[in-house]
Amino acid sequence: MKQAYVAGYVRTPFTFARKGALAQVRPEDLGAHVIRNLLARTGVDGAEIEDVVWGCAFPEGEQGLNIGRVVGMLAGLPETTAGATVNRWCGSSIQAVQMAAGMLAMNAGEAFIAGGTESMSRVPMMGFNTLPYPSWDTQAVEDYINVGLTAERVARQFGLTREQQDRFAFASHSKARAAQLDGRLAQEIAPFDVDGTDVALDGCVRDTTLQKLGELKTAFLEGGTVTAGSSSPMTDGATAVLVCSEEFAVRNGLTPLARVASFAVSGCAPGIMGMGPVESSRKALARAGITMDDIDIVEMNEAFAAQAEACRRELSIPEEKLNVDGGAIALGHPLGATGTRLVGKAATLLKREKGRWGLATQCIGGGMGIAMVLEAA
Amino acid sequence: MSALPASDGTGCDPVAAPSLPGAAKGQSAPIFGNDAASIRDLGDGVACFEIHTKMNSLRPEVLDVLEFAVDRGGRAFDALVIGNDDPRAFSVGGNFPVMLGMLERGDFAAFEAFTRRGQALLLRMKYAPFPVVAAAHGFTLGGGCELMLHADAIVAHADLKAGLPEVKVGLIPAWGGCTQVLLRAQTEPHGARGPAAALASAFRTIFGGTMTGSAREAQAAGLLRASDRVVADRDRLLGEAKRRAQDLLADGYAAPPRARIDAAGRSGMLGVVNTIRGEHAAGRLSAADLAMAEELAFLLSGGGEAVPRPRGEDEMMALECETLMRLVSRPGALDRMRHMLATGKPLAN
Repeated sequence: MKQAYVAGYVRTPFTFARKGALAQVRPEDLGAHVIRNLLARTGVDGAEIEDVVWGCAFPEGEQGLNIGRVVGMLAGLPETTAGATVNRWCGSSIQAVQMAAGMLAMNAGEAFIAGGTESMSRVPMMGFNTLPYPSWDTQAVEDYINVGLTAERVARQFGLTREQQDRFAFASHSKARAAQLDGRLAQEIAPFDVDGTDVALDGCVRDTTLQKLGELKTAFLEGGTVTAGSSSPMTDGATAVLVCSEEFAVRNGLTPLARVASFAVSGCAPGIMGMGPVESSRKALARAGITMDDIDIVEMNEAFAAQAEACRRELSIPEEKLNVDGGAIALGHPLGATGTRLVGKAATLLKREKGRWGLATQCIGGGMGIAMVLEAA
Repeated sequence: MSALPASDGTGCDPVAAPSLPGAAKGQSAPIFGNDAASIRDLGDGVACFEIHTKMNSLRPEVLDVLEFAVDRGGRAFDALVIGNDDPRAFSVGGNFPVMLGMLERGDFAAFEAFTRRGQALLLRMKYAPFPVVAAAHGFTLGGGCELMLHADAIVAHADLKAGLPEVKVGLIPAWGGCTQVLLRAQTEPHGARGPAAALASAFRTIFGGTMTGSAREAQAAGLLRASDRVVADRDRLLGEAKRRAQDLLADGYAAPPRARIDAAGRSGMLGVVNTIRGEHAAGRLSAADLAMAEELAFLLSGGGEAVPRPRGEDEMMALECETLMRLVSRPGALDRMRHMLATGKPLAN
């Protein structure tokens, strides 16, 4: 069975939805941009790409019409390269990487572009037509789609105080700002031209303080603990990685970043969807034949500080190994694009930090977790 | 067009009414009416329905005259313009003291009958065999806004202050206002796409209860259609409305086909309810407002059916009336209305 390698990673800057620099950019253009830049950076001929496997959490409107095919066409890939859209909500683009790895293992191709796009400016979270199943009661609907309240529930159930959440959020911004200032984030970003201006920086990173975070009102529950500051912001962005076989990498003179060692998905109660990473990570670690002690790098999505910190504790992830360049609270969370950022980032960090094992994981609305273990190549 | 008739014993008698401004000035003559409203001849086969109550509020006598006009349109005149020369208001809607009085007397039957009468009249006007053009300006609120919404075409003054503020007193627009806003959200070229999106759009407009600051804002709120016209000069409003009515006649006007509402059903309702329950959980919406919002979402979904079917406007209006009657029967409902009447401000009870 062929092994799958991550051999390149690029993303757009991530900016606030509706008020950020990319708010007027169509999601297809964001996607095409990262594909073009990934090919340029790796030097791979687009004709060699079997398929574009593309994550998108709300594939409708401008993100509809099989955006996976559209972004490939707009990027200038030959018509012979196919394209598919993957939807596992926030886990869509980790799933896209796994689907590419799976096809590779089944000898159904040598090279794939996996990635994702989400413009939360142009297609709102929950889409334009929110039509929950009619026999569900309001509580079931709330558990399934009102993720802010699930974060409140996790905070209560796992004993996360407001201050602990604010500290987590502050750490995320501090790490991200430091990485932004010394150019670590710039290495993964392909600046996007908007009306003659290069948008090169992530727009959600804040130079904030614990005091400022502590002064914010709660966002989802009166008397609760979760604020806009301890939640990932609505974000626009796109990400892409090159997934290929070892033979393909050698033939094209590529230096792979990491091998896809294992993968897992899991389910949990929708009302505490933020705990999804716990079981999926445990399964993925077991499938890779390692434990958390072996892990050098963890890229875990920070949908909310409450769930991320609760998962960190449950999985015994050392703080210094978690999201070393900041997480989604600071960087943003363009839903369907986030998974590939986590995989690409973990693979990149394994190289940079000279680690061996990396874990990319995230929670998913509706009560799921997704995890991928990477081994440095 | 035959000459407009005088009173025929329906209770609408010739009255001396104020002259009309702008292009219509000099052509207008009061034909019939009462002390609340009248019908005037604007010439060229076009009549004008004009209200002259305080702020042009809508009380039963106003409906008498409009019913008279709807019955005779197409025979006594070829087209109808709804407008007036009041500098402040097209109409501020249902006469609040009259309506509150019915409820305070415990005469819920009279309140319901007044509601159903208005619904039937406006729907009849919408599908009348002659064109109706609303010359909307100034305050065009509540029932006044609903009157405007049922016209074939609207010519609006740029400073139009339109809105459906019923939610501020714990009510919902029930003279077809909910139905027409939903219909516009479904059918306008730049409207929301899909039944749930239209429901959400109509919900925002109605539950927001805000008054627009201009005709442009009224378009954005889904109250004016893309085909409706906006004029900057108040003095030209009635003249433009008359011209629009003549254009409709020249184009071979026929009553519009009956509209159908693509109801979003219980599924669409749940999507909206989830959002408003989130607002309630976050402390941004009171329990009373939540209950009203859930009623409105149920109504706009077409009655919360698991497998929704297209709804006629009459069915939607029946839902409006049922919803309204439930709301006025809720504890504290009259307190909200009394407080608004006394202070001009909503009561958060």
